[in-house]
Amino acid sequence: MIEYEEVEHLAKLARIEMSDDEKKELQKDLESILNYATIIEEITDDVQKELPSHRNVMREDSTPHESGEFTKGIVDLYPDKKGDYLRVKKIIN
Amino acid sequence: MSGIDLRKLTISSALNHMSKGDFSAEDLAMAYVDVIDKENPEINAYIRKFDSSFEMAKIVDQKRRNGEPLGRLAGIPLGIKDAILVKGEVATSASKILEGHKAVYDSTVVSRLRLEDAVFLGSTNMDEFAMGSSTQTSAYGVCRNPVDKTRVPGGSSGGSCAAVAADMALAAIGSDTASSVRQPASFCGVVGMKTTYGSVSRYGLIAMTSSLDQIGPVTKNVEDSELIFDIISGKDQMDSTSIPFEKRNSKDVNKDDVVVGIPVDYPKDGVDEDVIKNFEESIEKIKSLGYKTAEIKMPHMKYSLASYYLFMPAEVSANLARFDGMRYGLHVEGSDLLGDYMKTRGEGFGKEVRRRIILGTYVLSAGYYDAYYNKAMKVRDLITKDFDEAYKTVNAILLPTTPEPAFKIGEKMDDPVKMYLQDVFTVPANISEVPCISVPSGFVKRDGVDLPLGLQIMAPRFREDICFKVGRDFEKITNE
Repeated sequence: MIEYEEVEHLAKLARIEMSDDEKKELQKDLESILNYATIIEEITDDVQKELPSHRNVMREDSTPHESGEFTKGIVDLYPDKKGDYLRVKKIIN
Repeated sequence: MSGIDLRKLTISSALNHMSKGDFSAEDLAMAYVDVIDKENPEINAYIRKFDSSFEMAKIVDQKRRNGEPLGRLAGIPLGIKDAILVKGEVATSASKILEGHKAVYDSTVVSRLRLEDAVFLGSTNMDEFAMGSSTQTSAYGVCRNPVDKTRVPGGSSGGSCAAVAADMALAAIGSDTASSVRQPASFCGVVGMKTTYGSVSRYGLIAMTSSLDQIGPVTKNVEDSELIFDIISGKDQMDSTSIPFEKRNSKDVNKDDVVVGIPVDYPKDGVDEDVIKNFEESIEKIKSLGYKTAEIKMPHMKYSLASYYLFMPAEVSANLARFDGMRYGLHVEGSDLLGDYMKTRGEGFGKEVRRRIILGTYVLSAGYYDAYYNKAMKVRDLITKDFDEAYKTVNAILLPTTPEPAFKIGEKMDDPVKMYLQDVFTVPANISEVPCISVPSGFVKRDGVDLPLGLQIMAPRFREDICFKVGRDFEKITNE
């Protein structure tokens, strides 16, 4: 059973504002999804996890593109800016 | 209207017509845009058209006139899923939180298609962030199935599949995390391909579940699917999960070397009887084509969906943490920085996305991590092992694509588990990373309408050529 307070806490962790009604609905939804998903608990078989052959893909440091090539496009997307700087609210009071 | 018969057109026939001068790339683009203008207000397969389409087509025509070399898709009009970046065009993944987000670079898939002189018509509709099986969770309105407009086209690449089925594109690009190309392809009566994980670059694909997401083609036939796969696949240094592999042609696959596996223990609970009947008929067709078949057991396959609904939300919650209203997309003012985040994400994400983020946050939280996430990952390995075992004796595996034909718009929206069950036959291929093609396998009648069904053909990793070979043969006998 997932408590209402737990959903409230999760919403806060996930940084999502939602109504009380939606939280109550989510309580039910999570319950039914987890209820379905926990059929995997009946599996007792074990498996040796093999390391994938394709892992830790590295590359040499290099210059992937001309400096500034994407700057204008990215800056244009800022919701709030001053020159090329992104403006956000004060974090420390 | 143009005199071009779009209904019968395939990529190869269109290329042939254009090289003979029957019509130009611009004529062809115009013909598709005419259909879009007429049909899209109702079907809603496209979220937006690109202004650049005609310009792209004109350049191809110019190149042809000048006798310059042309790409393998010269003048072929394509729809691109709204989760895939096209430089200079808006890409939102059908979410309000990315409203107005203009891509600053081309996805690798798009740049490879560009190199072959393809023409892009617009962004196709989808479930928000690819989360859904019906294209009803799109923030830009539901998409309708052209076969029966009271029904869903499937999802999440519902717009891509509806566009191809309704002659609003000659082919389209979708992405498949659990079913998202194959299930809508099956619902709309077209061919959908889920490619081997790592075969097609994900660079420029807005992520949902990074360990499963793969881009794949939606086409009218298997031949077109193979051509597009050949173009978009291959190692890309911009995606560290892309893997170099040997390219093969399905024409080199010998029927005698293929053994088709039939899983005897595939899940049948809640599956429409007509789907099972159609699947059995499909197996008979494969046998009648002269393919050897063998019964196989995949004891963990029935747990695929359950494990998916534990680890997928975990990846979703991590991937979607980046959408905070600070750098791009929607920004909603709160009283402080935290308020900005809470309000932007609260208003910007739709209901299903919010549900999955919360579920993922829960699954990953202390105390549940082992019971849910780790256990699900172990099941994932067991399922992969089932496939590895099966591929010791067979090199193709059949399954139905969907548990039922296209359902009515509005259905299952208030019951997430019922909606999730749509993926029951498709998600095993994603979990085990193998390639899988869905090919139309016939029809069932509902309310007087013939609704299409699909057959899935899976093969070992990087053996798309086997999917295409069996798919082409099956398609031929089914169309007879």
